[in-house]
Amino acid sequence: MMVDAHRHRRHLFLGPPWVLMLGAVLAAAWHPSAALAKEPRGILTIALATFANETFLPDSTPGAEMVFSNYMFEHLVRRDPSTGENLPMLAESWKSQDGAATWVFNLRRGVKFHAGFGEMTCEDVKHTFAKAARPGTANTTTFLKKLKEVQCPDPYTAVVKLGSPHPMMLNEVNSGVFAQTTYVQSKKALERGDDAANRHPIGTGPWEFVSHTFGDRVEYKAVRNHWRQTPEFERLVLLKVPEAATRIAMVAAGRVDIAEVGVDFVKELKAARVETRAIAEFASVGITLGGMWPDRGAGTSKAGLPWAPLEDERARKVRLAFNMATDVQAIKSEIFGGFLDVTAATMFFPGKPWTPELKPYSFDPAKARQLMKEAGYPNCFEFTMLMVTWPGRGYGPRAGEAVASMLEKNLGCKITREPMDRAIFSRHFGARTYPGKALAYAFPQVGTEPWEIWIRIGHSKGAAQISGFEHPMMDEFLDRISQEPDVSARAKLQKQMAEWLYKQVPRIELGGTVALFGVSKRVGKWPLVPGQGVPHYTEYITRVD
Amino acid sequence: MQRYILGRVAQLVVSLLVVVTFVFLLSRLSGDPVLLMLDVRATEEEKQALRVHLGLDKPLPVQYAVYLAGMATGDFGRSVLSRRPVLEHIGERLPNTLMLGGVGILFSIAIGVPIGVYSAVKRGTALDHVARVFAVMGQAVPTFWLGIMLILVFGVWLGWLPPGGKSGPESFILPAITLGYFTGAAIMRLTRSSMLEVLGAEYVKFARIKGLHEQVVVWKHALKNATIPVLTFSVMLFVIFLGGAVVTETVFAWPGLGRLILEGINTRDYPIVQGGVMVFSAIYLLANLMVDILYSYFNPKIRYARPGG
Repeated sequence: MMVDAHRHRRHLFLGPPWVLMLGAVLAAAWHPSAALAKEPRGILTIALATFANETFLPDSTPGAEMVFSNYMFEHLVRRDPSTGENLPMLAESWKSQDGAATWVFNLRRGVKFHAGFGEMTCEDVKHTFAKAARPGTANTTTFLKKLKEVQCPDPYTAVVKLGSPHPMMLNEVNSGVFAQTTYVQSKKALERGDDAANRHPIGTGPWEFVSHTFGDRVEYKAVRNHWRQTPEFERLVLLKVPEAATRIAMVAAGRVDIAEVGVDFVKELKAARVETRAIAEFASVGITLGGMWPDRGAGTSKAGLPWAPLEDERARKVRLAFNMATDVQAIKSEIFGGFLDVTAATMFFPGKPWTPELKPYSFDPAKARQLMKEAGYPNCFEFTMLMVTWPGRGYGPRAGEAVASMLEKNLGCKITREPMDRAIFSRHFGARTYPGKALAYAFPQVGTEPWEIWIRIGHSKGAAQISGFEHPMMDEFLDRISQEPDVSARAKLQKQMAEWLYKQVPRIELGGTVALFGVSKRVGKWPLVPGQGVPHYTEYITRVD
Repeated sequence: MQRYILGRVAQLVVSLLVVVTFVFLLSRLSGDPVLLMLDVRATEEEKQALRVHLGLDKPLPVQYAVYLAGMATGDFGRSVLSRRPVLEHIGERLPNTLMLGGVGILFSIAIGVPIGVYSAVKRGTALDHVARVFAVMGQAVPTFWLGIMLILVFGVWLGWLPPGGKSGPESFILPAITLGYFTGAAIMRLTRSSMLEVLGAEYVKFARIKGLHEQVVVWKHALKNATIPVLTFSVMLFVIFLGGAVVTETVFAWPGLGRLILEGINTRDYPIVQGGVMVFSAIYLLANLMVDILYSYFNPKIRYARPGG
């Protein structure tokens, strides 16, 4: 009797088997990833070159810390892995008003912060943005600088009021590179104070913080039944392994599942038979020629700089000769292991609507020598090349060395190499204190469109100056593009800007490269967003048992 | 003896003060950490606000006085990056370095003493030559190269041991060998020369005449006296290990104090560098003090020696 009663109760509660099956099918149709996902099991270990400034306080650091924190936080919008377009995340929908000076975000309901910190509401968005926008924080995200207030007409609507229009707002509240200041954080958790927020960070992401040993490791655990994606691994462990050879060895030995490795180690990865995954359109590599800043009073051709100013025909011939004396194809195969899209204009990756069809400068040493002769430098001249190192972008100095050797061999230049840490060099960005020096550098993509990096590095009012030149024409292009809300109109303007850049030959152009990872056999599918150079979307990695 | 020790302790305190001052000044000469912490687009006001927050706006002597006063009360300050107390970071890392150093010393002694003894006993034979080549290699091979080779062979090719990171007991083996080979070679050479000296001593000859077994003569009577300089040297091994720890911990991604200091230098985290170097210096000076005391205990002539006398 007891058994029958139990059976009866179970039938009453669950219904007959076909109902269950139908329910499962409907559930799968409604949320495929949740229904088909495997039960979280095992550990996913990632070896990283650096944890950057290693803090969970997004408003205290410039942004490279995403490398170890992006797993547990989420943004209002996210980028589509295949197209890079903005998709709903914590905001289900949005609209701009007042010519993009007001943005209304409709927040997703039922999203929970970790560790019982409650449901995410507009108050959390308001507090997060207000905290990051305070004077004295490390944040300099454009929209936060324009932020007037965030209004919360109801818990699920956030109205962001800006001091002036900002059509590209979405690119600063999405999961792109350097977007960590706009992680939506729990107001309640932040009110515990910075120390507690740093020691026990609280987010809404698919991974929940477990522990952090400074300079060594961070551990996360999978959030079961996460609203977006429950990871297939039970734990995520990030290890800081500064030495590239050790990272390769660890992934080759199967001790870690993903190892961050620069493209300059692609041959070593192949030799160790390690499978690789790449994030496309990660960085643009070239040699910046510093000092084309006419209004700065230094580094012009009058001051004896052969490659400046930008519009001078003789100086242009020098820059063109440098490009024609550089065998980019050899650099592509020897240093980048093939992972270099040889491009004609800086930061313009092929196949994009804003990239014009331009033929890269050809390798022609004889023509290059002729150009140098015409410019009045038949035996070239002496200058210094800064070889700037950056974790994960170790190929910069190697590419610089290759270019320097070619210029010496093909043109007779005398080049002094000056190794420099990126951290040391960063002070020169704003101060423009490298006139007459060449700079081997890899610019990271910071957004989906090239102007987003150019406005930071190539505008005369930009705080960073890594492009080597300033010009009223460039300012005009950037000012117009940044105010243009229409995508196709922006694409058209950027195309014109690329063609103008191509004619000016502002630097020695090598091309665009990828961010490379070695992966173990346990890593299955892993969707990666082009241009997003830190490991991301780990919650979507499928586990190979 | 007591007076001698007190004098040496006073010297230790002065030495520490010199180290602190030196490190403080050097770290301030290498640049502004605010530029590293802020986005390159940060305004001068934002930079200044952060400087005020970190106390970096104050004059150098004030910063120095604040730092010294803090250290006197056990406060090494807070990491510029993590904002956590430096002592907390050191507390996390130092045990790892000491454990690795301990295993490294055991390895050094385990290979250095027996090989040194055999090399002395079999002087001039092929075994002696092999041992001496082993010792010269140990002193000549760069630590980072040896580490990478060990990772390649045992971590990647054979897959027997973890190539990096700290996990189970097996993760100690490769870094300990890397760290211990150099000192093991030094111990071997020291043991060999010390044994050669002792094996020619009268009491050893007497033991042989008495008809004692050669193994007993060598391992019991000769080695006992030959190990005195080796044991003294072993105290100093810790100091040598601390120097090697920076490279070894970086190659093996070992979460020790050496790596913490190196990262502090790279990120200009002054408090971390100052705290770490202070701890290393203190260990170094304490080890020296221990060696001096041991020497003076075994050789009273040292403690009575006076400058010029």
